[in-house]
Amino acid sequence: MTSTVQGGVSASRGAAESSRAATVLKGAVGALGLVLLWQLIVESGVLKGGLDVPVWEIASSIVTGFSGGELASAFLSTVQAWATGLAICVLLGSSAGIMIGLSRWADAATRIVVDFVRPIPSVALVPVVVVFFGIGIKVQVILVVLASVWPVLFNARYGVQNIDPRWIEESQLMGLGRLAVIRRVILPGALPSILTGVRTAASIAIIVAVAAELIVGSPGLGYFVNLMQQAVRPADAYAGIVVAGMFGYVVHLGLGWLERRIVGWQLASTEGRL
Amino acid sequence: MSDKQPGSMSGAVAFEARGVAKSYPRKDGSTTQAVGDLTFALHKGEFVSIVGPSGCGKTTLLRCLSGLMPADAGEIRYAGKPVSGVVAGLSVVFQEYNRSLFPWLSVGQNVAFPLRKLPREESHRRVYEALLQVGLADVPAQYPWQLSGGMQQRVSIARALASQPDCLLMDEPFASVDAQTRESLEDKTLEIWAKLSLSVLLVTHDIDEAIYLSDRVLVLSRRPSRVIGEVTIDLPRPRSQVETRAMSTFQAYRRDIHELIRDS
Amino acid sequence: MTQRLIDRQVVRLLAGLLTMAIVLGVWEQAGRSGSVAFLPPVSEVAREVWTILSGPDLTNDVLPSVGRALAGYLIGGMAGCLCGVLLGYFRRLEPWVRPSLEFLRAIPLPVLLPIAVAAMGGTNTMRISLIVAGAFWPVVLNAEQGTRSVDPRLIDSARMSGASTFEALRLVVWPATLPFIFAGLRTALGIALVLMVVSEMIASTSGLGYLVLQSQRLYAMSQMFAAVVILGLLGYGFSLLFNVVERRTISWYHQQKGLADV
Repeated sequence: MTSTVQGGVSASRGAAESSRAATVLKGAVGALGLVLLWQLIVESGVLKGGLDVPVWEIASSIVTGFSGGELASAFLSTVQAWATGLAICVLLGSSAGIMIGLSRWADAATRIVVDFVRPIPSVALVPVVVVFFGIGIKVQVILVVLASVWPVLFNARYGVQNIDPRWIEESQLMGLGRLAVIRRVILPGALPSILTGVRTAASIAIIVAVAAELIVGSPGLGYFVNLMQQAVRPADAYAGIVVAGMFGYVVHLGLGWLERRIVGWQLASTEGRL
Repeated sequence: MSDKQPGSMSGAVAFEARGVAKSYPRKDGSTTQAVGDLTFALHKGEFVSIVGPSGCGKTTLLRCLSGLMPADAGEIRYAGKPVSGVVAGLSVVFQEYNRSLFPWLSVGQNVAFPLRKLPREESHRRVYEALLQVGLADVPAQYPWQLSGGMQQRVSIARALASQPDCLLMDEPFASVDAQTRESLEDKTLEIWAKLSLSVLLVTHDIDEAIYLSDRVLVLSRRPSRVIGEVTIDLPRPRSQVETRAMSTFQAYRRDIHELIRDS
Repeated sequence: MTQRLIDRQVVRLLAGLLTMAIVLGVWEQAGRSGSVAFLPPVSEVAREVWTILSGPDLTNDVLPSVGRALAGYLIGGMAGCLCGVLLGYFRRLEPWVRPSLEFLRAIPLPVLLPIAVAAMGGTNTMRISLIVAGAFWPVVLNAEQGTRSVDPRLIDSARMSGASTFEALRLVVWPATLPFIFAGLRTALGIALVLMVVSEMIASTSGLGYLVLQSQRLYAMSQMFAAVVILGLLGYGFSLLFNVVERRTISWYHQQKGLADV
């Protein structure tokens, strides 16, 4: 009986790995299909005005762009603005969110103001920010923060408010002081929610950073694509778009992996509860 | 409450399974044989329970019997005709009422769901009758989640009855409610069975419940499951929660079935 | 006891209003005194808002903006629902298309603007197409996730009651997925507004986004702030409308959840 169980376990692990490999393979085939689809569109002649750039031209543009071309520096500028803005968002958003989540008064006091500021589409504030802060990477960072702090803040608040009150009671029974409760129970308890908010914030941040670059002309992928299109270099413009997409995709995957790693246990216990 | 003769094996077979087998693939690539070689018959007007150790594939069996899942091998016949897909005249009551009642529909709308194709008046009449059978005639406008667990399960039963079936399949229908509610639901089920002359096949892990309710109890083995024993229950009807369960024959049946399961 | 609850809620509301009043007061003061460069007082901005909304700008800029946003949002949303439900129901497709879909979704849509302008010109079609693309993604992903997480027991119940595949989709999968779809539609609303503004700031001569940018270039500060405020009001109004529609359509979901959380 025991030998079959052991055999079963190692067999199942091998089988699980091969099924994961199969999933990756299927996805790769699908991606290839996407590339083929693009080629078909190009060949069909639907895109006019030099916009029908075949796949290999886009690919070679990416390669040259990154080996010392303008694409690399544009990419780095965007990433820098994105990362800085996101870091500020996370710090600001989670601390504010936790505070609001813990204090009913803070929640009530800020509720109305937040409800009015939040719906303003962040890109509408680009000109406003330019007036006060000029042009440059500061603009992008500020805009990223203005746009992306909300999901982090609200998710932090939601996370704090939805912590199982029994956990807090039990830790108080164990003699933990208020600050310790926050550090040991509330922060880890709200973490899954905060991470979800960070994921949303990360994708909003990319959109806003790129939009700001387009509108203002600060260095970055948005400005790069605009420039390439105006210089009638469509292959390079497409290259910028693909790079932007890949960046967003990688960020999405990476944060997803982080979420699963750090928060796996939380999700499991929540599932049991629900 | 009419007197029902024990074991109404009046010859006519409502439902039968012969050599049914079902296995399904698991996430890691291996296959599990849930049902091995299952053969039994349900006669018209009978109340038969199926018991077995947990994980013996009872639920898989029920899904095959109800036509939701095709079996790998063997034959399933309903009223003499082979089953392929969902069968009219056969209704199923599932265990988790909160996963089988539609939360966006009211109680009345839920019960009326199988009657979509009927004209309005007929459907209304049947819904009322079904709810009356289960003792819930006054809640058709409420939503399932506004009711207690026991009431929700009764709504499930009402929905199964609305299509006026001849045969009822029940998959551990009382496992999700507390003990007292379970007793009243068991008696309610017997009442409905007698009044409507249904043939009932009930799957349960509760041996006492199986003995209390049935004319016959079939015992399944561990996976891959087969029928390893059949006990005819010769207890007088109508049954009573307190008296019938206290009878010495009841205890004897329980011992027998326990042993059968333990030795499997 | 309930009286205390009501009192507490009223006090909380007042606290919120008080904070708002303080913020407005500070703004007004800063604007009047000129201590912050380029900041007009709130009263001027309010006056400018009224001017815009009661003048020709309403039909020149505000209404076209709203129209574009709505059109793109509704088209994108519907397309997303359909594709998402189909994708979720026929799950075999999933591992094949998922990475490609995730990649396409990850492309920040503003970056497509230069190409879109080159392909379609600075037309309404271009702007609405962009908004459609933006509204599509959150809806399709949420609809797919929702469809996939429909409890198979519910589908079993439907099939046991004699429902065909099409009926199961219409009568069970669709209502069960609606809460997820609404979550996606809510995200899509914000994205639609952002894309509306962005598309009006590039290669455009009308619209609220254009108004904001133009005012900034001309250093007409009050007008710029007024346009931003109107955009905020629009966003607020849309989300209020959305809440009303959501409550009425899936009231069962919220009530059920409310009970479960107790």
